[in-house]
Amino acid sequence: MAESRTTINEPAESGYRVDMRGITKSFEGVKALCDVQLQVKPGEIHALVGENGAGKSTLIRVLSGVHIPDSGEIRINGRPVILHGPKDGIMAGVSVIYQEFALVQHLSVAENILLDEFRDRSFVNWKAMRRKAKELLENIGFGNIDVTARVGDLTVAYQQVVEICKALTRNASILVLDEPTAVMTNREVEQLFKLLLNLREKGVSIIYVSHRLDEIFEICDRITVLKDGQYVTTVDKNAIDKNQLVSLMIGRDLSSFFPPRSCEIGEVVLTAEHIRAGNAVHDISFEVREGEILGLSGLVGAGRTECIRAILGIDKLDGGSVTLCGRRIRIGSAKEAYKSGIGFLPEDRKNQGVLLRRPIYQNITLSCQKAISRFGWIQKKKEKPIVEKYIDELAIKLASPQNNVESLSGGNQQKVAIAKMLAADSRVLFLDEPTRGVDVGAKIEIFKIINELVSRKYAVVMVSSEMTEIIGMCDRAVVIRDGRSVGELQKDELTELNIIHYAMGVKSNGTEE
Amino acid sequence: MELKNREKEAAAAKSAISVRGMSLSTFLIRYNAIIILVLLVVVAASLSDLFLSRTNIFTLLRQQVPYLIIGMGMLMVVITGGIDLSVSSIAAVSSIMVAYSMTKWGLAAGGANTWATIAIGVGIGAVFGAVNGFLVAKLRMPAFIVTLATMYAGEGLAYIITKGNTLMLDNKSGGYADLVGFSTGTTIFGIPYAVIFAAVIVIIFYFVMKYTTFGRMVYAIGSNESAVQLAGINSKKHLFFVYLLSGILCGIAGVIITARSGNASALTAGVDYNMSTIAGVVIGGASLMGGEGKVVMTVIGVFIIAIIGNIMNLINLASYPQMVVKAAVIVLAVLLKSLSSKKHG
Repeated sequence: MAESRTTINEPAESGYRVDMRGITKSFEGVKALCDVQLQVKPGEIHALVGENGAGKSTLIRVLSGVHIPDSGEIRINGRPVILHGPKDGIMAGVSVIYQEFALVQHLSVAENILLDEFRDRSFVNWKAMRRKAKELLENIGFGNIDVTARVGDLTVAYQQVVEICKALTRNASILVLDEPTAVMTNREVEQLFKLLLNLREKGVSIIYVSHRLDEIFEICDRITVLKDGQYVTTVDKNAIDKNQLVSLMIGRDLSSFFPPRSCEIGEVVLTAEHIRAGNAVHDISFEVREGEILGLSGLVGAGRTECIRAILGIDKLDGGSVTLCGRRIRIGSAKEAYKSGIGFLPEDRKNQGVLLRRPIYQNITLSCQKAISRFGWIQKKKEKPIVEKYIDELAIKLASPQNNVESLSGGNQQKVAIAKMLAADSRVLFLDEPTRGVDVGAKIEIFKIINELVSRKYAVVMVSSEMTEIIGMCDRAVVIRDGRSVGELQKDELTELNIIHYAMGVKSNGTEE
Repeated sequence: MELKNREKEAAAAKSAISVRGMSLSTFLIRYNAIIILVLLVVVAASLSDLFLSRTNIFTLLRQQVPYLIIGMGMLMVVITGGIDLSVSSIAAVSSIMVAYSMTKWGLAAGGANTWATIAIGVGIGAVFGAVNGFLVAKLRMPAFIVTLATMYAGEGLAYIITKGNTLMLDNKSGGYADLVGFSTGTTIFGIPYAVIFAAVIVIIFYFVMKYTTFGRMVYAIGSNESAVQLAGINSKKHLFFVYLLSGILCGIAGVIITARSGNASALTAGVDYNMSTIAGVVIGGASLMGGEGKVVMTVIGVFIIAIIGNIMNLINLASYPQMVVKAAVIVLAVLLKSLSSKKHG
């Protein structure tokens, strides 16, 4: 075992530690990656950038063995490898540090670092374990971390250090960091960078996935850009500036993907002002009119979903005001939201949008129990027309409404979730990532449904991480960054460049705001 | 790779069969309880001529009355994804308070007095159920811990109230005549009143679970509570009512337990009402993860447990070995279920 590891760790003749070529991967007919390549040298920090949905995560999962590519070749240290699972990835020296750490929060630092090594022993030599953990941390310059401390009590940066240290004990020569600084303070980021530079000196290859362009330019050596599941280019960071990088990430043609729509925009229906909630939402304001689609744009984690949940009273609203049709209201729960005519389509369809293991018809009428019953008894003759109406209007493709929702495709499941929201007679709709996880055909159908709704004077607030969707669908968009609404773009100002500049805080001259 | 393809083909073939109608294997898996029940009846009848005798059947039915009533509450709780371990204790305290109110508070004259004692018994169940419901639904505590605690507290209360003694009803009082008369009384074809009463409760629950918005929400909550909440439904209220109802049903069962024997003791808390009803519900195909379970199948599950006991009585197996055998059957049934659900995702 040890021998094979040492051979793996030797750099290849080609000079690349990681060499992925022609990687293609589809999910249920949707191409997530198409002929993508990635080459990383030993002792290099290599940035992987692209918009949400560009295929970064899929590529990482392919490299770590979570996904098996449909075609393409992966060479590690010049030798072709076939990774059938995360274990194979770890054996090949690939360690991925995800945003949600895989650490055991209530165990000590030492236990976490050496979990694998000590698991198979009957008795634990605590002293030896602590000494070894201490050594390992000192090796990477973090001897100051208390190895007996509970991991849950450490700062996020130190947790990350522990996670990296753990990866190194498994002889990781390729370290992948997925948005490592998303929840870190500046000081913590410094600590992390110190560690990464230290590891680079030691010859570790680091793949760094991040949206934060300044960080990328600060720490990375080369940058690979992905767009819509395709490889764009790999450039040296000194050969490019921020604006050029941004235009590499976007700038695809907006196809005639979005069905046309003509409708009159009416009065303001709902106003949200200075919404504040939890750690994610600091100051978000927007308004939406009758017959209008308002986009809430921004990076994943900017606080869009959290903002909606606070407005609808699902999570606690710490500050700010909500006005509906001129009346100031305070919504305490999703129930009250529905009562005041506000519908909500959650982003997580499987866990929040539908009841997978209940029949389709029961899902559709879930939010209108009063309308289908008399004295609590369900009236088939009231329920059936409602179910049939929405199956027909939304063109839900199904074998029988008696079947469970899990028998449907993703797109049709989403239509059921939309039907459920509409059946409650809501006039203001909050759609959180309405096309997540559905194929292109279903996306277009969902867009058509949304267009139909606004033409009937519904007011729609749509959260989407896909900029093309915001640009193609919305009449107006508010961009959110770090829990604040930082800009409003009218229809004619809606371009990817404008959105990304607000969303990432980059001004047109390429500097950080 | 080859293996995977083969698996896929096999899966496709399977789904092709089930499209045309329920395949035999699906039927066997979904309704295995029915088959087990039939087999048990055959076994029982062949082991002893007594089994199919009228007396034995009515005794068996009468014995199962509290199990069936408590089982309906347990079924609802399990469908929501919870569990109620406190049923035996609630039934015991209810049973004791019925006897206590008749012997110590003088509510033994029959008629209105009897109704008052029944109200006390059922009310006790409601109070326990409300406590469970409040802690589980409003304060979001795990049902297992909450009902474990009320189980313990209930048993303690039962011993405190009775001081460890058996409360005997005065067999000359009107109240005694009312209660025991109801319990032992029979109607046409010699069917006991109590059995008809249990059947009525079962039928009511059959319709409630199938045709009311409440029943539908119970299934929905067990299937995915956060989706239910986000659809604008007060799931906490429904969850509270589920535990409240379970408590009320235990209260009713408590009244019947006192009526059957004409006395009440804290030993009732140690009777296997929780064990056997949970087993019955699960053997009837309900999932402890919630979202699944049927009234009719629960009745079958309860009777499977009952007949196993009955068979062992008929062949004179002592009661302690009986417990071991029952436990083995329960483990087997759950194993069968988990194997089949693995197969079918």
